[in-house]
Amino acid sequence: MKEFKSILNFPLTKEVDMKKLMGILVAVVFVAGITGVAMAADNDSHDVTITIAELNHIVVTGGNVSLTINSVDGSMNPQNDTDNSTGLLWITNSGTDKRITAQLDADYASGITLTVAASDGGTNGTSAGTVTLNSTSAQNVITGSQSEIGSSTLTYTASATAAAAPNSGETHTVTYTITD
Amino acid sequence: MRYYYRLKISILIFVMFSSVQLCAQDISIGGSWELTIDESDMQSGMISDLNSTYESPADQVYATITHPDYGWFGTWYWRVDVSRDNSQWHNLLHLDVRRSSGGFGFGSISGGTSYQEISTATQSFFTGARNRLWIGFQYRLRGVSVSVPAGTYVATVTYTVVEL
Repeated sequence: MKEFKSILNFPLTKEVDMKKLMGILVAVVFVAGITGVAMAADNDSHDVTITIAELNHIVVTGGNVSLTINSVDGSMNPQNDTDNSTGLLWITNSGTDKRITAQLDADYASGITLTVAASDGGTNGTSAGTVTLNSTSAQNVITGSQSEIGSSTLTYTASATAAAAPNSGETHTVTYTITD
Repeated sequence: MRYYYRLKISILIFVMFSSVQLCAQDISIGGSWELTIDESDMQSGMISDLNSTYESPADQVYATITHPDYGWFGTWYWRVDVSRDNSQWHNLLHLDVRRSSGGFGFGSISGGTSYQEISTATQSFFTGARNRLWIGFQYRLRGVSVSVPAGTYVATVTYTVVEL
């Protein structure tokens, strides 16, 4: 009894004013109606999750390369030999820069040098210019590649000093790697 | 005391009525779609782009729409809207949804059977009448390519039922 008195602020007795009571009831109905209008929609949600794995692949195109030094230039130094029949194709969907490196499986004999230059490839990959290949450390040939399918022409140049010993053919493998 | 009891009962009835209004029409979404795209989704060979389009199975996700005021035979009309958030999404990706089944109920259901893109803006999806259970949805993802960086993308899709 006391609780209702404190909430409604009028005496709840037989002497209660019916007009006042009806007024309150109308107000309650009105508030209930307003509440109904305000909640005329309901929603629920869930997640759609897409995971795209990182893809980094590279292939060498054009097969093996054969370079021969069998002549001299006007200064009587061994004449370089060049080949641009091979290339690289790669794909990366990395959101951060990738680089492509090249490394020999073993060094050539003393006095013989092999260089390679990769052309710019893809929309983001940039050539590192002409690099001398060796077996001790991988050399960057393309840098800054991300989210692209790239292609590049490889230009190999073999050179030798006059002191290099003649041979019947020395074969080594160049390994290209796409990496962080 | 008679007035006191009448008032007590009246207030109780209106409070109950008000409570029903507060939890009136309801939509509940069940299921989810999680898609992983990897090397097996490349178009051809080692150096090729990813397939651009992927579909979830039909009825991968389902909705139940009810209104406790009407029960199974009471008639009320509703519309379902759809939208998504954009906080963990990539702008090259497009998420579509379509209604792949009509579910169960004594009322009707109409529209939404063709794919429509879910955007950040709320859009009308389909309409119906009366309570309805197990309305199936199917998702489609478009725009996948190597240009979309590897990672996880999440769209929180919100379905809203509006009483008409």
